[in-house]
Amino acid sequence: MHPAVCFLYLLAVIGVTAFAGDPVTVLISLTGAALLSVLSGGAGAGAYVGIAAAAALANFLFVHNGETVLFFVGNTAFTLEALAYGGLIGAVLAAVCLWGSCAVRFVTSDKYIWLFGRILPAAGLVLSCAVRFIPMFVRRTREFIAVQENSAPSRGTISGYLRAFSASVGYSAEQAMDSALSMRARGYGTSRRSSYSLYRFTLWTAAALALVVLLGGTCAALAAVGAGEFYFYPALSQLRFRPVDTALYCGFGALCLLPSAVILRENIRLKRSRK
Amino acid sequence: MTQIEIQDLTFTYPAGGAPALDRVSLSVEQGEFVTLCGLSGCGKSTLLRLMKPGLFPQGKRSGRVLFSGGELTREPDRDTAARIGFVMQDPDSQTVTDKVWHELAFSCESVGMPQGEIRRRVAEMAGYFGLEELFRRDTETLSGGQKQLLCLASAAALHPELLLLDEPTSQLDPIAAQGFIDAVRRLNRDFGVTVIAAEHRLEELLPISDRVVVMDGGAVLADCPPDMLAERLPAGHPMERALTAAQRVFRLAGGTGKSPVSVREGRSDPLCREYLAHHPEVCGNVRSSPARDGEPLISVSGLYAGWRGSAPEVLTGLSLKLYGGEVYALIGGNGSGKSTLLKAITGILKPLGGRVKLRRGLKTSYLPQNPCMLFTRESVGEEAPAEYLARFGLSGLADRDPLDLSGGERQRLALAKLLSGKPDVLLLDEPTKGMDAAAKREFATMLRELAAEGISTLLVTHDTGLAEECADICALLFDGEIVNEAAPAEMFSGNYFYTTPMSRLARGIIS
Repeated sequence: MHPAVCFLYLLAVIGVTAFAGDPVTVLISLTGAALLSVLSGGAGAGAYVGIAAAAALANFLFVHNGETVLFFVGNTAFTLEALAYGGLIGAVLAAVCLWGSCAVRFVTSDKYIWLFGRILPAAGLVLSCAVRFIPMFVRRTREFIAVQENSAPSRGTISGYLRAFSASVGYSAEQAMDSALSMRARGYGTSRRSSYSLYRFTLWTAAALALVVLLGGTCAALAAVGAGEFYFYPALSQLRFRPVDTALYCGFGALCLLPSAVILRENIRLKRSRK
Repeated sequence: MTQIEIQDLTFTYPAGGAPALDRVSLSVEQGEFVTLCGLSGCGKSTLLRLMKPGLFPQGKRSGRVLFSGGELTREPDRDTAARIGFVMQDPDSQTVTDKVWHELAFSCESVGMPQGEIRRRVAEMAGYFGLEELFRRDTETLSGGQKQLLCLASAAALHPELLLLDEPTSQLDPIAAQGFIDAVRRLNRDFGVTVIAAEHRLEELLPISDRVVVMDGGAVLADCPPDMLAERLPAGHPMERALTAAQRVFRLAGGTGKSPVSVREGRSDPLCREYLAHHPEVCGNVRSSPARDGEPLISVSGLYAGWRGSAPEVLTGLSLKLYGGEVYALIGGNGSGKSTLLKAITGILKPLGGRVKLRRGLKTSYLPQNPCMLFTRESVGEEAPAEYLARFGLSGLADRDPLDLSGGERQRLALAKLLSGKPDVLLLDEPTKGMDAAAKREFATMLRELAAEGISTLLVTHDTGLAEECADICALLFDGEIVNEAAPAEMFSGNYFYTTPMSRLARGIIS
């Protein structure tokens, strides 16, 4: 998928999730994120449940507003409202984290580089170099440590590790000078850089982009005019299903399920073509 | 038409001393394929860099370099950056970005080409160099040969007129090196790109070159077609050893004038055939190997090893024994598990099965493919005791930073450091990578001396010449096992591909 679509989509989904204050929207977002995470082979949702529970508990323990008192400890009231609000905050956190983990899987380094390359070609290049360099440096340092542990008498000591690390840094610096020469040899710095990307802006990209803008924009507008309003304090308000609320929930539901639908459709197509 | 003309070029590095280039004059025609050779430090790298704006070394220069009639400037501009391509030695440090496609596009981006044009050129280059399969891969997953090809493709994307290659295959195994040289040859033939290639690997390059330039001490020693080099090179010159097998035999036979260059030409040349038929000794030293009995120093049995998970290199049930005072050379293709074996013996890599048994109290020293991994100090003098530096001819370099040394010097320093620990066994991984013919020769002699002192060597190499010269016993590693173990003379007369050029030349002629 074109990076522009990816970034805009994430912005819309995470934005609406974070600013919506009602349980239905958050639940929809959480469902969509969880579904996408499962479809794309992600796991480890347990951690996010933990985050949600911790937030709920913290709010319950430290916030004492609300009318419906569950119990007293001394003079302190522990209320249902605080528990519910904590739960919502926890769910928002979990949803945002889950979307984030999906983003890591789908928005690969070349997509970031596209984004930065648009704005500042040099920044895109730096990013691309960093993405290559960091894992390489880690691997190289490990190898330095292994080799030097094997040959040096200072086996396993901190100073041994430090020496191996500094040797690896020195060697990397040496290599970087060579890289700089290689860049110069290929015309780096001779003119204003242009930026190339694998992604082409096609009619499909435009359509997908339009859909995301439409859905996201509608949701944001509906939320702004008060759709899906919900109060926790002083007492929990009722969930309402006026036309504006329903529109918000349906629209946001469609937005959240969009990527999962695309993946499912591809899976089905793949299965058919294999038969 | 003259592509590049060098007039009376003299160059001295800021450190002073003798000039690195001494009144060099050279003229290369458009579309010519020129091989530039000479021992390490003869000035060929300096000369190449003075032909590429942006890579000029710091120092004092006099004389002129004319490119298509105009004088080259120190700073590159968009025009010369595109028209003069340059590929260097090290595949790792030359790769700059994280994706293959980005690396291909890098040069086009640098000169500010519009998107659509880059898209077309990148597609063309990926197709021409057969990189389609790799197009979306991370550059880190590529082999050295693939990275070098990628560098070449990136330079070629700017449609250069002149391609300067600074030992581009010195870090590659023979198959990858041949692949790279073939790609360069295609560029030269299909598009008329002028090529000037500095290389130690003359066996592959000379047969396809139009001209060969030999440098010595910063001056041009010979400048002639490859088939005249055998005659022009002075007798006893160290570059003699770098000549192709056919040229060497031709010289030994006392031939004059045009000589055969490739193995094919040599095999059909009457003078060479005649000489080979009467002098079978050119094909290999017959060494009286030490008896292989008693308790082995290292005994590996049924070894399974590899990197868990995504493992290209795997050993499956390998067994070998190393005895005292011998040099054991292990040859085999890339990914056959040669390095993995050494790592398993040193204990850097835990075996997945089987046994590695070292004799009680045995001290091994391991030289990794990259000798820099052993260096931890700021200066050469701190790395190894003075007497070892002297032995390896490094005394004069005691104040230098180990990382500033040349490839061959680094290897020597690494060995000095290892030997100062008084090991019983040396485990060497590709020790002659990037060495010139003379350095290789010296290295082989040194391993023999060490063996005479009782220090055994287990050597992993692509270099069949080295194995032939110094090993007591050779083994061919394939598919995770040793498929053949024999004395070098026997091994190389029997092998068809994994053998020395001289054996290929003499096959069937020496019975």
